[in-house]
Amino acid sequence: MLFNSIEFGIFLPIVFLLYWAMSKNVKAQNMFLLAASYFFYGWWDWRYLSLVLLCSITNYSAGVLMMKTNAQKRRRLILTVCCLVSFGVLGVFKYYDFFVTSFVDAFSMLGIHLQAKTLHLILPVGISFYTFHTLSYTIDVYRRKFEPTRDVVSFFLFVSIFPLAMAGPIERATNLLPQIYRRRTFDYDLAVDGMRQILWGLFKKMVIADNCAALANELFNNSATYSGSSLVLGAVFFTFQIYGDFSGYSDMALGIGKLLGFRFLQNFRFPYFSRDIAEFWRRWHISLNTWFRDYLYIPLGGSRGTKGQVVRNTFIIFLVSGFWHGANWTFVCWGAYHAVLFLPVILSGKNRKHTDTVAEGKRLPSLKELFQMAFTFVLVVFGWILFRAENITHVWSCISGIFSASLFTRPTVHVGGSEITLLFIAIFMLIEWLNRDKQQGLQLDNIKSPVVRGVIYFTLILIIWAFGGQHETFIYFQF
Amino acid sequence: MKKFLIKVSVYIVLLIAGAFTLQYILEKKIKQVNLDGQTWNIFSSKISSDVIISGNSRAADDFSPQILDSVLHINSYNFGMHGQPFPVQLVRFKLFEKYNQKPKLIIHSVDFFTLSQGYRFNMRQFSPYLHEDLLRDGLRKMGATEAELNIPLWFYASGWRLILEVFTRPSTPDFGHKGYVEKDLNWDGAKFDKVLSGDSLAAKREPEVVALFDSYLSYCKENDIQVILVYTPQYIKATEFTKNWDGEMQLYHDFAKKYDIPFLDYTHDAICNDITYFYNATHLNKKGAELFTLKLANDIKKNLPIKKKCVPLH
Repeated sequence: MLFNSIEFGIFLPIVFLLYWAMSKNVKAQNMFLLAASYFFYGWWDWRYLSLVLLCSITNYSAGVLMMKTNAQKRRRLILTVCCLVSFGVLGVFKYYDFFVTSFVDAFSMLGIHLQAKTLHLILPVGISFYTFHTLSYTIDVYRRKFEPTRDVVSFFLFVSIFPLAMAGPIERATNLLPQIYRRRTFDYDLAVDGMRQILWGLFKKMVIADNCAALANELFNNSATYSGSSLVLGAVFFTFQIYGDFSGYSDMALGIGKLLGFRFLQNFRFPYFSRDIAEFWRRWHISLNTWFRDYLYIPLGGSRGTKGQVVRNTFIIFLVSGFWHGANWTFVCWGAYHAVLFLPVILSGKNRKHTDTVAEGKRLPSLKELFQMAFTFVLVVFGWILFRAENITHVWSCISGIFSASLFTRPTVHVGGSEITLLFIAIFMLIEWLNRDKQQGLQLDNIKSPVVRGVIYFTLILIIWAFGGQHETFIYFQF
Repeated sequence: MKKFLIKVSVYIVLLIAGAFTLQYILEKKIKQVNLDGQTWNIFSSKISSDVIISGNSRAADDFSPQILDSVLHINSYNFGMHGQPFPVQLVRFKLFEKYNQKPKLIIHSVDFFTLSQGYRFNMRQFSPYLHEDLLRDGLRKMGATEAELNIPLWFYASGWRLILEVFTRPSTPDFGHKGYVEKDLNWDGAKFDKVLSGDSLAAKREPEVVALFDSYLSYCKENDIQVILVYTPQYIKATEFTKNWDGEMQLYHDFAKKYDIPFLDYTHDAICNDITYFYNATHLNKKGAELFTLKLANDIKKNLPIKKKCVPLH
């Protein structure tokens, strides 16, 4: 059940009405939301609910067991077992085949031919998200940053709450569990903001991402037949596809959360207006990057220590982040590429130079800012080629295609719609630019007239209807 | 909460009203412009032809009703539909029958694509007629969703090109000459060269559609509708490149034998060797279509007396 499907269009209003009908009883509300979340997840494949349950039981039990002991060794053992179970499940379903085939390939290069026994398991949707989501709780409990819960329903709801179940944002127990415990009352302004965010997310997904997807797929799938300039265009289309797709999904998730009275963590903050790569990573997939920062990078020493340690830590975090995205060397290379880009910034101590909003209080950026944003954007676009390619050979074929004489020819795409898609990208970026200091692109606080707001909503709906691309699934569901 | 629900309800009502209005305007325009080069004027009950030419694009492009009429002194109409296999052709035939007089003769163009299942192709041409149950059932088999069939404007989602087209094209109440639009084009073998670089062409056949075709021929026989099966000329290399050719042809011969109807096979006619008669490997151009239709008309005149008297063209 995708957020932009008709099934979800039926599911959400029913859940919304029943959920608020029991607003006087938070336990009933949580119970109902848990049932709705399991129904939502089970709609995709009910068998994989068992993995959600396993993850919930393991981490809940770990919390309870840690509550009962003060012995550090025992607490560490509980945490280790819990991590082994959680990462074990993730490893089997997501990485087993990759490791087996990689080992076989490595040995065959040495002349030793082994028989690969792969499992060909279907990757359960959202497994990387809910594994990380849940582990944040256990680690925080271990670190005594958070009191473990005995409330089974609340904890199980925290693991599987349906707006976040498939593709995040990766929530923190410190943010979400307290919201689950307390009684929620309907907040009109929050719900209206949520509706706007859902609409904006739909626009990003269906108009920007889905249209870009058709063009990027054509260009990447037939990269050998296209000129260098066309491949650059393909990389640009993928750049907006992945942003529209994932941030659109996140917007919808946050919007649905607001309808239900929750405030989830912001996952994107206009990343393509970043002035350097460090700023990009503070604005892109924030929930995952802060997770890695808090639970991997800082425990490793972060940016403290010798330069060698900083280099090591930077590479570890980016390689792991790349690997998190999927069992493919292309993702690892993408992570390594970003580590290389990040290193000069962190080693020169300039990684926190741009923590404000670009051109704050101004309509236009300065020439310097414009150049910085353009340069960062080009670096990011190049990185997406590694991310999008099917394998390392494909990466090489795309890059060598780009850096050829045909780079200076007029780009062509053998399927229609590139001009209109570029026009929508331009409009989209303009709207994002105008709202770059806000939480989301369709925050209409400064428009007082309800008629004008209504016209904006209907125009967006009309655009989504007429210009929405072919129904593509969300990219991040595969992660 | 109440304020929120009222506001959302108002928006929903406005959306639904807007959707129905826009749907009405779009459908009216689509009917006027004969989208996808198809004629759907069967609903107006104005077609008095008692000879119909049925089939896919090879029927649409290869048969000139004007030539058939002049040689055979009949009143024919070309109902060829681009890209549509038999299940959709049958829907159109049934709808024709519902709104017009029963035909006396059907010249049915068959080929290696006829007996395959319908798929989502040029679906938009059907959109103004979704109130027809026959069409709805046919579209379901082609893969149309319930949302497309029942929710206003859903059928036109992502359809900005369509909207642009229907509002910029001039109205064309009658399409071509009795359904036939001549293709004054020269040979373009680019696509076929690509096909030739592959393994082979394969005739597509679905048992369900074969059974449907059988029941259609049976219905025609029971209702005294004369049927002539015709395999129109195609470029000889395409024929030679089709791997299950003999089996496919045998099936049509078997049908002809079972229902005692003629099957005219032009796939080894002299036309097939000359690319100047084709615009691609499976479609005749104007020159080829005129020559072929003349041949067909003369063959019918000489060898196949039309059983029932058909109304001549006025």
